[in-house]
Amino acid sequence: MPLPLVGNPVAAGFPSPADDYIEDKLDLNEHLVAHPNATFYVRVSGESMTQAGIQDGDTLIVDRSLNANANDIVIATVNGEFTVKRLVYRRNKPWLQAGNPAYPDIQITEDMDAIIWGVVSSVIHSFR
Amino acid sequence: MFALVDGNSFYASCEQVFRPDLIDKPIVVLSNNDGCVVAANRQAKAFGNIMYQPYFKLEKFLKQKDTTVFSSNYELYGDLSHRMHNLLASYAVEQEIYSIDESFLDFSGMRYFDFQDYGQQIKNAVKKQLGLPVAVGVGITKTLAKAANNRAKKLAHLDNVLAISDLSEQEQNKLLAGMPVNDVWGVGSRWTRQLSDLGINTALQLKQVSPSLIRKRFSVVLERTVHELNGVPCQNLELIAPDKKEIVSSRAFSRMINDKHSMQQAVARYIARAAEKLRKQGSCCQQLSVSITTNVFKKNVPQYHNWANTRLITPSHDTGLLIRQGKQCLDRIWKDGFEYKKAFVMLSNISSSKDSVQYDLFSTEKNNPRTQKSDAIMGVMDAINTRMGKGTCRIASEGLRGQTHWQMKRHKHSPRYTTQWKELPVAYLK
Repeated sequence: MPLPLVGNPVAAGFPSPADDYIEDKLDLNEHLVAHPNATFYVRVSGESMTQAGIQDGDTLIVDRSLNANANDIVIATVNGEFTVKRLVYRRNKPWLQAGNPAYPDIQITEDMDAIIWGVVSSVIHSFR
Repeated sequence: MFALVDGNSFYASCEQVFRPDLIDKPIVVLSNNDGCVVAANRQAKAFGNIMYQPYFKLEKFLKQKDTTVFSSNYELYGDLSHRMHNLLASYAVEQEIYSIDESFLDFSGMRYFDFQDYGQQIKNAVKKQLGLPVAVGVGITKTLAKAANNRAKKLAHLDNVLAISDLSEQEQNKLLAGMPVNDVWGVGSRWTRQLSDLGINTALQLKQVSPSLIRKRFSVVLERTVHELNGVPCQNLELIAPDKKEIVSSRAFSRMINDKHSMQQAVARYIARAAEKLRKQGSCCQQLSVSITTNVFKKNVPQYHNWANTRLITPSHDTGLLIRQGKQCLDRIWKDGFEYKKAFVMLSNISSSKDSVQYDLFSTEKNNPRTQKSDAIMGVMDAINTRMGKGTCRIASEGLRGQTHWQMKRHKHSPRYTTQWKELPVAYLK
C-alpha cells in the first residue's frame, strides 16, 4: 500500500518550497487495474506469442468484467486447460487464434462464456 | 425490499474457478485436518449422504467415483468471498455480510423494479466476473428473502433466482407450502419437532398460525419469524458487525501430543492466531484461558482434561505477553503420561483498544503491556503476515514452520491462486 506524501512535519529547518504542490504517489494499480474485484493475475508458460508481445514467464492482468471483442487477447479454456489466444472473427464466426503457427486455430461453436475465461488487459514483462 | 445472495457449494465452486479441467466433475472439500467433508458440489452431492462424513470412511468410495478432493484453502475462499461481497455491494443501497458466502442486500427506495430480472443480472455478473454460481432470493422481509433463496435453489425450474415479492399472494403461498418448516430462517431442529407436534410442518403453516400463540408456546424470536413470513419487516440489516466478545482458537492435533514442549508450541500458536484476530478488530483482552484434553472417543486410554485461566493487570493485545501468560496457565495444568488430542485457547473480557485504560499503579514500563513499542512491533508483525502469508513472522515459542508435527494436515491443498505471486494460475501458449 503506497503511503500518501505528507507535508514536511519537521519544525526545524526550512519548509520545502514544494509543500504546496504535494500530490499522491503514482499507484500502478490505478493505472492497470480498472476493476479490482474482477481482476486476476495469470502466469504464462510456453512458446512465445510474439505478435501479441507475450513471452514465457510473463504475468497477465486478466479482467473478467470485460466483454471480449474482436482482436482481444483472451484467456480461454481448451481441453480443460487455460490457454492464451486472440479472439478473431471470420465470416462473422468467432475463432480463437493461436499465437504460434504450430498450433491450430479453434472455432468457438458452443457457449462462448464457457470458453472465454477473461480478457487480458495488460501484460507484465520484466527484463531482469 | 431485501435480497439474500449466497454462493452455491461455495468452497467447491472456488476450487473450480481455476480448474477448468474439473468442470462438471465431482469435487469435495475437507474440514481442518482433512477430517470430514464440509463442501461438495452438485455432482458429488448426487452420490448421496456424504456431507459431514469423516473422510477416512469415504476415501475409497470417492476415489472409485473419480472425485477430486481438496483440503480447505481459506486463503482462496477468503479472497473470492471478499470480491463477491464487494461486487454485490454495488447492486444495493446497503449490505450486510452475513457469512463468508452470504450477503443480505437492502433494496429500499428501489420501486417499480423488476426484481426477478435484477436478481438474474446479479447472478450473471457474479458468474461472469468471478466464475462463482450464486442463488438470489428477493422478498419484502429478510425471512422471505431467505425463503425465496431456498426455493430458488431447491426448485430446478427457478434456476437459482426468485423474487417472491413479484408474485401474487396465492403463488407465494404455493411456494411456501412446498417448503419444510425447518428450512425457514432461524427455525432449528428443536423447534421443528415442537412445531410438528402442533401440526405445523411447512413454511405456509407457520405463516398462517397465530403470532400470539407462537409467542406463548415458543418465543418472541419465532413470533417475529411469523410476522416476517407475512411480509411485516421486523429486522433490518445489521450494518456494523458487532465486535466479538470472546475469541476462541482451538483445533484437534493431527497427531497426539505427549510431550510438554510440543504442547507449549501448540498453545503459543493458537494464542498468536487469537491475538491476531483481537488486533484486527482493534481490541484488547484482559482474560486468557487455556484448556487441554485427551481423546474422549478412545475409551481404552487414560483420560485427562483440565483448564486454567489468568487475568491480566491491564488489557493487552500483545502476542508475546499473552503467550507468556498462556505458558504459565499450561504449567499449572500439564500432566505427563497422557496422549493429548486437543488444546483450546480463549481470550475474553474484550474491550476496545481505544477505550481509556486504567493503568496499574505499580506497573513499570517493562511490564506495562500497552506501551507504544509493543503496538509498533505487533503492527509490523501483522503487516508482514498479511503481505507474505500467515505465520511468516512469529514468536519463537510457536515453533518453526514444518518442524511442528502436530499442526494442521492440509495434504490436498490447492494453490493460493489469488493471494500469492508464486502460486498464480498458469496459462499455456499453444
